Amino acid sequence: MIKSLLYKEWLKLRYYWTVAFLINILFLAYLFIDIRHQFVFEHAEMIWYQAFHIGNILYDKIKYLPLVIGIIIGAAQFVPEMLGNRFRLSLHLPVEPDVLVFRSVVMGILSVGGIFLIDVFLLCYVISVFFPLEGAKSAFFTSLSWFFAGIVAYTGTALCALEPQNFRKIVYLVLTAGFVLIFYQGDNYESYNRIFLKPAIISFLFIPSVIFSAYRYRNRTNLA
Amino acid sequence: MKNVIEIERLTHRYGKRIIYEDMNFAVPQGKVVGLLGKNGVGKTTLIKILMGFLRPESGVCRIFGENPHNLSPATRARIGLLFEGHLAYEFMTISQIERFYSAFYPSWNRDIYFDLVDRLKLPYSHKIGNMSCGQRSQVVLGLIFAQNPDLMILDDYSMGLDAGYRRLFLDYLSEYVKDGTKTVFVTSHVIQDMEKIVDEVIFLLRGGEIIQTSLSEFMSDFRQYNFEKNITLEKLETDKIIRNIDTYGKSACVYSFESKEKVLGHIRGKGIDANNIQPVSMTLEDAFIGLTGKY
Repeated sequence: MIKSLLYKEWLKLRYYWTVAFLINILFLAYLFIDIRHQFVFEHAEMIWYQAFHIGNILYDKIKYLPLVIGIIIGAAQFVPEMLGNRFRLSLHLPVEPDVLVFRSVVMGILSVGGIFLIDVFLLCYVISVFFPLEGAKSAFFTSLSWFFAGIVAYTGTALCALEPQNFRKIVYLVLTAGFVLIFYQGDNYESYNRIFLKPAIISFLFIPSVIFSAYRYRNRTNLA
Repeated sequence: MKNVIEIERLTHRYGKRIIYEDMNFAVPQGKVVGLLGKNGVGKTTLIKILMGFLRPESGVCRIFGENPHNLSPATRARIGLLFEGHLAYEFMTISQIERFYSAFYPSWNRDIYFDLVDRLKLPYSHKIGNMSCGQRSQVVLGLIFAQNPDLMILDDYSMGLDAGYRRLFLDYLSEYVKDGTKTVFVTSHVIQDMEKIVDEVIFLLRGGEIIQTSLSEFMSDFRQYNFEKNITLEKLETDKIIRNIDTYGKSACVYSFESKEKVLGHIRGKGIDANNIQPVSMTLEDAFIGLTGKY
């Protein structure tokens, strides 16, 4: 049964996931070329000065990429379920509804998480080509908040898609946007190092909240 | 005989509009029960309540003795549910959807699915989202038969099916209910099909009134009476005896569950000069329109 549920999620996601994956690879390849271009046309000490004295983040071009990926994967996974109320098909399967929704969300998080892990790895690799290891380590911690924003964007999209009431959809949208903004407040290297844990933990509360939206969908008293 | 579906004192409304009020009925095991009613009386709403997708204002529903909102997975596996509009995962192909569903049902019969689907003469890689309504319905009905459920709930199975596929479906359904252990709760707008398959009918009328009876009893008890000559029925209104009045041109008829003598006496009691009335034989569709009205 678990294999079958994963199979369904994969069928929904495979094209979007592949496109999202390729976009990420292309973006990181562009980042590599961009940094290399700077090193070719500028003096290395100038780049060092701009990056580590002035604090310009050299790779902030990928800043919003996880956010977009999170929204795309969330929409690809849950919008087909909600069109024509097809979510009822899933809820009629002989599986506990909460478990069913939880598995779908975990599958989605693994999908976006997989892309993000590759992104983090490639970002650190690109930085390590041009800078010492400390630069790569710094890139890891600096970009972590953007990837968390991507996870929140994914769960927020799922939450809004499954919520049956329009007013609540808007409330969830605002909440999601608020949480996403928390992860974009810092515009320096490793801005979140001291406070990262709290918003990260709170962000994980978005996962069970998707189950709550699905519960509300099952327990409507009005079809509107 | 055990009841597979039980509804007790069910009340539901949308805003101020009452859909049902204190509604009671039961669907016994091994029967094919047709839920009939005009558009908008709440047939689909009732199925949504029965399957736990909508919480009623009050009342009790039970399916296999369980609350629809907390059906155990084992009980869900015993129910084959056809959603209105033959809802299906449109992103799947013919073979993918079979592979997906087969894992959930222990007595899955893939032969019956492919037997129905092969008649479409489509490759198994054909996407459901690219099918016509009729083709999609064939796939969905194939999935439900393959599930081999103890209870089938079919919400307007005939939607989009042409006459040939409807007949094919009825053949499969007859085979499915043959051993007398399977239960079917079905709604359809094609009333003449219902005459061929149902043992019992539940008429759902506006405001939530229901009439549950066996098909044979209904067809023998509910009658259409034509007046012998042109008559004015302005003084006549529907009541417990006269269930419906139908006038067309200069002709008129009334519908009732009562005998000819009782109906005639009742009409005369209203001061209407009626000499005689004649019972007319009806199909289920005629009787359905007679009971619920044309409009």
